[in-house]
Amino acid sequence: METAVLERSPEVATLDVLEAQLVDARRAQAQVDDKRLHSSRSQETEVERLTREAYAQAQTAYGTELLADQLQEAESEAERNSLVAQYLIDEFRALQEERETPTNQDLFQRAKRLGRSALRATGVWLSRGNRGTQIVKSALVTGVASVFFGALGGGIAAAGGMAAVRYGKAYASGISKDVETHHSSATELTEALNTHEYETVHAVFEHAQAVLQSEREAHIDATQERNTKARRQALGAMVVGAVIGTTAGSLIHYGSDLWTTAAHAQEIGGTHVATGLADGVHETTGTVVLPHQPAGDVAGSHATIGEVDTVSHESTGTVVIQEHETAGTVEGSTGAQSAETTGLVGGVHETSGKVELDDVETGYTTTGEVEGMHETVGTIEGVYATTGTIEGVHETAGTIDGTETPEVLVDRGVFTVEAGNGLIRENIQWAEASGYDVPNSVMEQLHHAEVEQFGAKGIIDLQNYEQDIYMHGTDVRINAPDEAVWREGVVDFKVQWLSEHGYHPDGGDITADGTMAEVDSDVEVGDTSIETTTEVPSVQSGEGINSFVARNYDYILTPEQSIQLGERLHAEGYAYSNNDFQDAYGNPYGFRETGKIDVGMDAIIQDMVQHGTVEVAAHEPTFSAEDWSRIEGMLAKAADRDMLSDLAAYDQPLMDGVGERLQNMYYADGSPVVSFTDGHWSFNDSEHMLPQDALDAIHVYLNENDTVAEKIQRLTKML
Amino acid sequence: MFQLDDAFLQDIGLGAMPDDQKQAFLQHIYSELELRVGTKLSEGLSDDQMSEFEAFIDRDEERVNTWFTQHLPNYAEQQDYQQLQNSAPETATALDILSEYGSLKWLEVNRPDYRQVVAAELDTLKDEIIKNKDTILG
Repeated sequence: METAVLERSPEVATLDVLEAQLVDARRAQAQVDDKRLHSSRSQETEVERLTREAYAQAQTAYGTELLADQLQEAESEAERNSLVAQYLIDEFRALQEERETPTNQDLFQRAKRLGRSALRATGVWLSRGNRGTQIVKSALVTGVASVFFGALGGGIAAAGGMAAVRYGKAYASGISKDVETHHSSATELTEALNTHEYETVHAVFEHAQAVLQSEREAHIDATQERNTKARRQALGAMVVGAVIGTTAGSLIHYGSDLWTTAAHAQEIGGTHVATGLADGVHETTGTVVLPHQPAGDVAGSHATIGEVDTVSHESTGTVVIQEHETAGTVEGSTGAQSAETTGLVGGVHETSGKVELDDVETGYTTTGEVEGMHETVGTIEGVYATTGTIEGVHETAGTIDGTETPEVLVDRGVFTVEAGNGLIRENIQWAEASGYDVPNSVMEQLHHAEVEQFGAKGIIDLQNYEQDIYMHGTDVRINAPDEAVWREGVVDFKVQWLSEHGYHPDGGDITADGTMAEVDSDVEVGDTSIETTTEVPSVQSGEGINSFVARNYDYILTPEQSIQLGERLHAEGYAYSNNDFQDAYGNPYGFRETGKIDVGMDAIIQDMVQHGTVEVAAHEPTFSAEDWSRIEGMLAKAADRDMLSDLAAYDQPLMDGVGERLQNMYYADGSPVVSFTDGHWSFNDSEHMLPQDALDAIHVYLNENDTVAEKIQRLTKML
Repeated sequence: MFQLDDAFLQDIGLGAMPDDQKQAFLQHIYSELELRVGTKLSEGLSDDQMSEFEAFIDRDEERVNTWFTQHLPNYAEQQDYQQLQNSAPETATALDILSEYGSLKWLEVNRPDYRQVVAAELDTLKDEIIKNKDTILG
């Protein structure tokens, strides 16, 4: 065997001295790494370069001495390369340990702990929408501490006023933990080394260090990007908290840059004019006797346990009453005896007296009991939902608008099956044409019900093209783009099914023949009095979660894998663990077993496994690091898929721009990623992942056309 | 000025959102607003400026003191500082108070328009939500 020449370090005799030098160099390297990771510089400074080179030299000097005998006895170049690779990988881990200081770890863990409550609450919202959208949402709330602090500002305020900065600290420290990027294993590094020939062992070290350095640069870039976002979030948390007052618990008024408390524990004399923020708990235990004129918005809990003698209580802004409890006597124009609200009314409003509402223009939701006279003298527009019990007289003397709907026929005519469309897509188009506003996931459920009711070929009449209707899994697909009609009974079935699931075209009623019922506008109720003790049923919620539960997945993951993945996702801050949901909401949705990942997340992983993007070896009870890396990668890809879906929904010009790039690209089942109709591109969603060339095209397009800030804004639309 | 609560959701047309999703959605809005405001404010700030801000976040006593020496040496005589000190909880240390105060003063020095930025970003966010409310509710 021809082996590379081994040079022993010429300057140092003992291993101990070399090791001491390596330890020093490693420590120096860890320090500059920390500094660089917290900066936004992509290029290393001269000091950083020199430190890196010194560290590399120390690695080589100690390594060649430590491994001298083994390198000499190596029977092949591959064995020699393997020795060097293993040594450098071990050294890399030592550097990582050096960098993970106890302080940062403590802060990180603390932020994690604090953040969990918020994640639990966020989990329900996260579970809405389709699977990829959930991932996007999850990415948005991965900054757990920030969400937590924003959500529980009031509670924090009660504990003290040192708010926003501390929140930012926890957030920034927590998220400053290194991003996980790919690092070669000793095996991978050896394989890389084996592709070259080397004249000296130093050259082997040099090449190996270059490979690892390249990975470090990628790691630094990824971590810097995340840290930059963390700093921005921290800065935003502090500023938003200061300006809005929510994070700081509403105890702080910054209207004149002054920090003043809003709790008045004594009598207030003189004019109290709040021209700035007047949020939060406003407790008056004394007597307010002079004009109280908030020129801004008043929000929060306003509890008066003493007498309020309001000579003139004028609110020119929005009055938001969350919990307005008056235990004393209120004299004036505002109070429980006669409460007139000309602005927005929201939140829990418990009144034991008379409430007069003038022109309530938005949703008025009473979640508590309304006892006594409830009088509406103005116009009610919008949704009026009562989930509690209504007892007493409910008088409406005004006009009720909001139910007027023109006559609309559901679509029963000939339609065109576009290339690549399946019946789910046709159903969606039918619903849109018929005036329905139904989520695609519901239309998918309708489709499955139709297949069950009529069979695959009993839904549409393709006129002599029956052979082109075929089943793909549980979906009906159509080969031949052509005109078609719904078969007899199918439209009625759709209408009936949607009605049973609470969907009506344009919010109106549907007659038996499928037409929209005409509803009179401006219903004059006059002095009608309605006495009722009927309990109004609660609105069903959590449909998003239930729809996931309803999906029939063949679970591929072993229970051990599921639990392991759930724990890992939970630890990483994803709100996908069953525990996150269950701790906050009990188990209303029939989650399967404590500790496992939740059903939505499970579905994603199942898809990945089914499509071969994650290969789970049946004999392996747990995920390997490589599995985990692939899962995270696929989560990102799934997020990309839904970003495109969001773009299609909210930004047609952008969709049109990217649509051209995506033509002639197809999912794994052969269906096209985009379609072109009426001069516009549309995105065809699929259970399959976007092909890599589509992802690349999307990223190229975005990078060409958007600034980063615009991109962030566009891609974080409200979904 | 503004509060993220049920009334806010009513105001932007999301009052019909299921109760169990309202809080989570509000949290999301708040977090999104923080990020957008932070992104906007950090535009044009150098690493050194952001590093100054982090000194307050990290309660770095030496750097906090240095900043006050350079920018506001007579802070202890300022009325707003005294009010902050008086209203601070008992558990707050002098460094806590100084850092809190310093972070706000840092803002006034480096991004005096921060209130306008919050208002603008909030308006943008509200517009986006209103525009997409049907989909959000769907």
